[in-house]
Amino acid sequence: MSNIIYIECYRANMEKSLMAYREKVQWVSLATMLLVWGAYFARLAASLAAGRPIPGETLGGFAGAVVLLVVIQVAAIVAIAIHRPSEAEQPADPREREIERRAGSGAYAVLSLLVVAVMLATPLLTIVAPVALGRPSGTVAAMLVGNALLAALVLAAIVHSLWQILLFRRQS
Amino acid sequence: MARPPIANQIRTLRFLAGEMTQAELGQRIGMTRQTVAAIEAGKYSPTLEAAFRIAHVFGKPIDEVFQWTGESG
Amino acid sequence: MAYREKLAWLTLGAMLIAYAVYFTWLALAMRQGEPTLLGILLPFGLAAGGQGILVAGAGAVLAASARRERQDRADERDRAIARRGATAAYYVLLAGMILVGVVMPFGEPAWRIVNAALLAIVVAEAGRLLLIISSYRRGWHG
Repeated sequence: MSNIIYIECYRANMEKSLMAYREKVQWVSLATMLLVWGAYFARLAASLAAGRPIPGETLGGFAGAVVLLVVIQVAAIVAIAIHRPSEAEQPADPREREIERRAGSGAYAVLSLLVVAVMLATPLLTIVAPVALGRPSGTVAAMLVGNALLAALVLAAIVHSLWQILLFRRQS
Repeated sequence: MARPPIANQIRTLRFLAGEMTQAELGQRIGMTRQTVAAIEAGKYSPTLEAAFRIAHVFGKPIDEVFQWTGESG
Repeated sequence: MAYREKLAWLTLGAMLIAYAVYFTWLALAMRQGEPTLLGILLPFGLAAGGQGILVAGAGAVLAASARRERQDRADERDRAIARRGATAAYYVLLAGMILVGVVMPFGEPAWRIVNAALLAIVVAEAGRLLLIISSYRRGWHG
C-alpha cells in the first residue's frame, strides 16, 4: 500500500512540472517582445539623444524589428507545437479562455490609458520636441507621435502576456 | 486570489479508476491536463458543466466528487 | 434589464452622440483647410465634456431609479461579461493602433494621427459596450 501511495505521489509531482501549451506561448511572446522592442526603443532613444532622429532610419529599424519578432515567435511556437503536438491541437478550455479574458481586460485598460496619455502629450511631441531636437519638421513630429503610440501598443501587449503568465503560475 | 471554497476527491477517484492520469481525465472532459491539476489542487473552480462531466466520468453523483467547504447558509 | 446593461446603453448613446458631433465638425473643418492642433482642442474638449455631463446626469437618474440594484456588487456573470467586452475591445484597439501608430506616420500630419487614434478608441469602446449589451440580451453565461 505504501508503495502505491509513493508511486502516486511521484507521478503527481512529475505531472505537476509540465507547463500548459498556451503558457509556453506567452513566455515566448513576452521574451521576444522584451528583446526586440527593447533593442528598437533603446536604439531610437540613442538617436534622439544624439539629436539625429531620422525618420527613414527609424522606418528601417522598425521594419527589421517586426520581421525579427515574427521570425523568432513563429520558430519558437512551431518548436513548442512539434514537441507536444497533442497539446497544441487542443482548443483553449474554459479556464484558459477565462485567463485570456482577465488579461485582455487589463491590457485594454493599459492601452486605452496610454493612448489617451499620448494624445494629451501631442502638443509636446509635435511642437516642443522637434524644436528641442533641432529638427522642427512635421515629419519628425509624426515620427515621434507614431513611436509614442507604438510604445503604448508594445507595453499593453507585454502586460497582456505577463498577466496571463502570472495567472497560469498562480493556478499551477 | 482566495482559493475557491470547494474540496474534491478527484485524485482518489482517478487512482481508483485504474490509476487514470490527469491527461486522460482532461481528454475525456475536454480540458487540458494543467486545468485538471488546478481543479484537483483547489486552485480553480470548474464550470458547472465541467464538474458534471468529471462526475460522469467516474460514475459518481456530483456531491461525492465536489464538497462545499465555505460558510454555510 | 440589468442595471449594468442600462449603464452600457447610456454610455454608448452618450459617446456616439458626442463623437458624431465632433467628427462631423472635424470633417467640415477639413474642407476649409487643415485645422491646427490647438484649434481641434476646444471642440474635442467640448465633445468629451459633453459626453461626461450626459453620462453623469443620466447615470444619476438611472442610479436613483435602480437604487437597490446599483448597490449590488457585480457578480461573476457581470464580471465575466465585462471582461469579455474589454478583451474584444483590446484587439480592436490594437488593430487600430497598428494602423494609426505604424502606418499613418509615414504620410500623415500629427493632428490626423491623433484624431485617428481618438476614432480608434471610440470604435473600440463602442464595440466593448455593444458586446456587453449583446451578452446581457442573449443571456451569455461565460
